[in-house]
Amino acid sequence: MNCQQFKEKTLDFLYEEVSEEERQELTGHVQSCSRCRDEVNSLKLVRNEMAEWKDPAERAFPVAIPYPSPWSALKQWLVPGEWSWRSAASFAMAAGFIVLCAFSILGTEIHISNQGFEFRADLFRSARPRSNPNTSIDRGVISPAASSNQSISTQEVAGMIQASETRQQQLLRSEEERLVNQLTNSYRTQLTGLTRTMDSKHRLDLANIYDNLEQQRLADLQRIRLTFSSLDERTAQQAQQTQQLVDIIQKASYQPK
Amino acid sequence: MNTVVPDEALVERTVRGDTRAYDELVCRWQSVIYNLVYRMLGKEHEAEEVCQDAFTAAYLNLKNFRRESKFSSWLYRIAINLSTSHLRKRQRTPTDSLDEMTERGVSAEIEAVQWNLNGGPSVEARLLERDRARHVRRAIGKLADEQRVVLILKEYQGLTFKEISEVLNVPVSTVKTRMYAGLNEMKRHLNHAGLQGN
Repeated sequence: MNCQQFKEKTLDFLYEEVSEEERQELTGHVQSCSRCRDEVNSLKLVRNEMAEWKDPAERAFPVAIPYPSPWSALKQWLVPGEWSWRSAASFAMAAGFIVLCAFSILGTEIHISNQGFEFRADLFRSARPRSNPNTSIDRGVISPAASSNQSISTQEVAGMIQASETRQQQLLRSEEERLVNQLTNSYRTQLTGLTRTMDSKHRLDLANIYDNLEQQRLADLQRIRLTFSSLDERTAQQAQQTQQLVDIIQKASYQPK
Repeated sequence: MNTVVPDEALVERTVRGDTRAYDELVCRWQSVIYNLVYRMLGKEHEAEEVCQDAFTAAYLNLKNFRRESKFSSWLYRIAINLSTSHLRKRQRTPTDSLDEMTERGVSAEIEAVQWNLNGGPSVEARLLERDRARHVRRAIGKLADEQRVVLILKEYQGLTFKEISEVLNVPVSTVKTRMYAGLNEMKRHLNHAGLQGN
């Protein structure tokens, strides 16, 4: 290694940023060349002198960062960058769209009349059947005004009531059948269980138990029958009352004004 | 095992709005940046102000931070730029030419005597040490900005030549040239003060 090559590596050598191989090579040159040795030594002296200026004492001083307020952070999150009229308009439109969606989901109705605004929100209204404006039925009450103006609507009402009665009777019958079948299955299950669990000396009593169960079953059936008869009677009475009501409405609709 | 979260991950979290992540970055780098700025300016209270400004500027410009270099290099660069502009401002309006030691005045002497009474070095040795440090500080203050920065980053911050080149965004060869020139300038100033080799 010559002096020129050493000079290029002097700082790396001084600050020990060389590989082990290079270090050995540079050390060898320093030992053999007095001029380069003097140069390195003078730089080391400068370094030693600089080390006299010690690190400042640890000082725990507060660093206050101007963090944005939550509102400006939200603004920044919604519209990154500068907040212009254009971005404000976009934000307003998006907010309006969200509000409309929310109103739609909540089933909100806003009526504007002479009395002012009427605001109504009904989350589950859409799940209920809507009232038919022709029949003017709302919550089971027939509007007299509507019936007097439209006589055909009362006939529709009568048809609907008839259909409803038929459907109700069918439901009652199917329910009766279901209960009887359920009861019969229950007796059958109990009897089978008894047969299995009883030993031979108790089998003699099986006939008596069976008789008791049979009597109980007949009594239950009788009770069910009576209950359903009563229900039938009541349904018939209600139908009769409804028919009377329909007749009255029909008569009223044909009365001269 | 407690793993240290990398600076870059904290930067990402800060950009997403996590201010606690930036607090952690400040806590991690405050001492280092203060040390650097103090070496650049030589005055503690000014170093605190510039350190505060550096962290604020870094926070406000974090979105512009390109991930090409390390966060620490970027932060170093901000602190160096602010320190340099502060020095220029100070040169334009020279209000106080006294250095830290003179500012402290009598209190430094009292402190030295107390230290001696507690079994530390003698008052003479302590004052001599302070005197040498003052000469070094003045010699560094006389260097050109670019030489001073390189010398401080190398000598007091312990960065490698490659790291310094990343901070200053110049080739390693340029860093070495400035370093060599800076050391020779220091040698000249210290010889002039009659300190070197004592």
